Amino acid sequence: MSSVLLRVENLTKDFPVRYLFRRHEAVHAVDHVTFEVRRGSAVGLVGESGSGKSTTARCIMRLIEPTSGRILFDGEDVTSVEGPDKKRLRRSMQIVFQDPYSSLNPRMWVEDIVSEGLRIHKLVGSDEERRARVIELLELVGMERAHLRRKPSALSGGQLQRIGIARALAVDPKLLICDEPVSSLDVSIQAQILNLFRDLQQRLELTMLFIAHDLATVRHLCDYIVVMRDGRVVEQGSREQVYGDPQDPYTQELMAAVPVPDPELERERRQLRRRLAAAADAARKA
Amino acid sequence: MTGAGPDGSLLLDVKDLSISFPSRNGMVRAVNQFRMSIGHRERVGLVGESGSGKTVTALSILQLLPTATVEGEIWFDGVDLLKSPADHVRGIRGRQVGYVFQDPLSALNPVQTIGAQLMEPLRIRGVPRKEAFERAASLLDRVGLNNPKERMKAHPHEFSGGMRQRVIIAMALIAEPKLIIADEPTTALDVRVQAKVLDLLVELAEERQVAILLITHDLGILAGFVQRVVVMYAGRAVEKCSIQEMYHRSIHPYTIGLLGSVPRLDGEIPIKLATIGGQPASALRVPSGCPFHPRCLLASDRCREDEPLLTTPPGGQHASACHRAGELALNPGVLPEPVVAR
Repeated sequence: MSSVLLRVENLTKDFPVRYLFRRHEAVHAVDHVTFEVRRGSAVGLVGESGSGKSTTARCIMRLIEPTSGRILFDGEDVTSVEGPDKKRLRRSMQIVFQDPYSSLNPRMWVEDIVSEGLRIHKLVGSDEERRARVIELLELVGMERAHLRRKPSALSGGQLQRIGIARALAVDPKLLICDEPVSSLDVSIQAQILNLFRDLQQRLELTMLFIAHDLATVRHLCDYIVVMRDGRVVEQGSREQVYGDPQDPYTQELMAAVPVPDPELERERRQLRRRLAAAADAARKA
Repeated sequence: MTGAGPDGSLLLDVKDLSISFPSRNGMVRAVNQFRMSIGHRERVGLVGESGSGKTVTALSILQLLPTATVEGEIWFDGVDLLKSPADHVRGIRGRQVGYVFQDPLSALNPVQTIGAQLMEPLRIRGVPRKEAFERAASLLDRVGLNNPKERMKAHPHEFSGGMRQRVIIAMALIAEPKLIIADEPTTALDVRVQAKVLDLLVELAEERQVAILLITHDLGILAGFVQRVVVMYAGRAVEKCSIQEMYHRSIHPYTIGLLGSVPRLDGEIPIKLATIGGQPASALRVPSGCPFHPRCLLASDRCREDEPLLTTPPGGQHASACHRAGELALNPGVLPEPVVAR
């Protein structure tokens, strides 16, 4: 078994832009992106809004069709698999979305939300077996049996995100994709969910692709970092490399922009930001 | 503190503020006996999670809460706004106090030009059109928009998020207010833009001698921005101190827990973030005694029954609403060992 679970090769996704009187154009939302995710590792995909990080994830999951490039998953080219193979692929990759309020069906019981995948992929035989599995999953994410018969409206944001994670883990995926899973939560709840991810990583040896704009969060969870800007990868490397010694000017600027909770340090960093901005200006004029 | 004015007066002094809203189950108290002050030219942060009452507190200063019952005293520049006629408060909005809202797109009128919106506070005051135009254009230039005279003719949709927030800042500043209230001014922005907008706000505040009340849930952005902090929980001020004190020597378990919750860009990566269990208290069901006790690792029987007042422990530098603040003050910034191990 190869140590690489996912390999994205020259992935490109164009979106057409139609004009009334001008020639139609294409926006390169993702532009020749290449990276790998090793088994058991957590890769952070970072970038600002519009950098193409979510589009990349959606292409990998085949929620949208890539324009060109290849996606190799578990030793298999899955760029254009269809039918039963696609269904199998969906089982081995699961996603946790940013907004738990809109990604969980408000009319379903928690039990049904979590077990839907089990039913679709026929992973359990009896009702008892299914319920036991759901309870096991709820406990895994820090919820209880009592939540089985609740609807999303009765739960808080943090609890909903736990349900979203339980749903993703239900089918025993090989890869868990998380698209900004904590950015809509309160600070103390964010930390609870980050701790849960750390815990699951260790207990289940999860492989994760973690998409976020918050560099501190990604540093906390991921051992390999891919930095994107305008659809391209500007820098990638190990956590130590990217955070310790960023090479690309954009990554440097991004790092300098993250506020550090220390008043003295932050004063120095403001000076650093001014210097970087001045250097970027000079580079543009030259 | 840079604080008090020539006569020793404060710019803003909020005393025993309580704010209640009508609901199906009677009145809900969103803010309870809240006190805070801001000196002239001072920058103060109001921190809290969602539902802590920080935004309603700010809105109540300008009386922008038509359905709420607001009690207490709000002294601005020597006048109690809660006892002033509506005319006086109207004169303060936008002129003495500027407001920067979280979402710049919904704070701007989509069918009016940027210039018209920017000039409005000046025009209302009777400044001639030409002068108003010049002042607006030069302010746009100052907040970092190139080609300001052309930009004045543009509509909000033609601007990016960061540019819109710069326009909002210009709007808040144009009437030369004494205080700017900035409510989560950068939450909707990307991190690089956020840093630029915040750095600009600090620069302008210093240059124009404006005081700022910064409302945020993000402990990180306070560090480079404010001199003093008020931490809110369940509609109450639970800790008040200088920014250095808060980061390094906090004596309230909520603040300490909150600081431990934030992943950092520097230093060692902890295996677990020292977070706070449970969920933020809701105004609909404020717990008995200390509202933080159900989530607090230090809670004792006393905390469940009697609500701690905001007091400064002897010899301390700052105020905390915690029965065990005195104990925490012996080794500030950390929770006692046996508790951490749990």
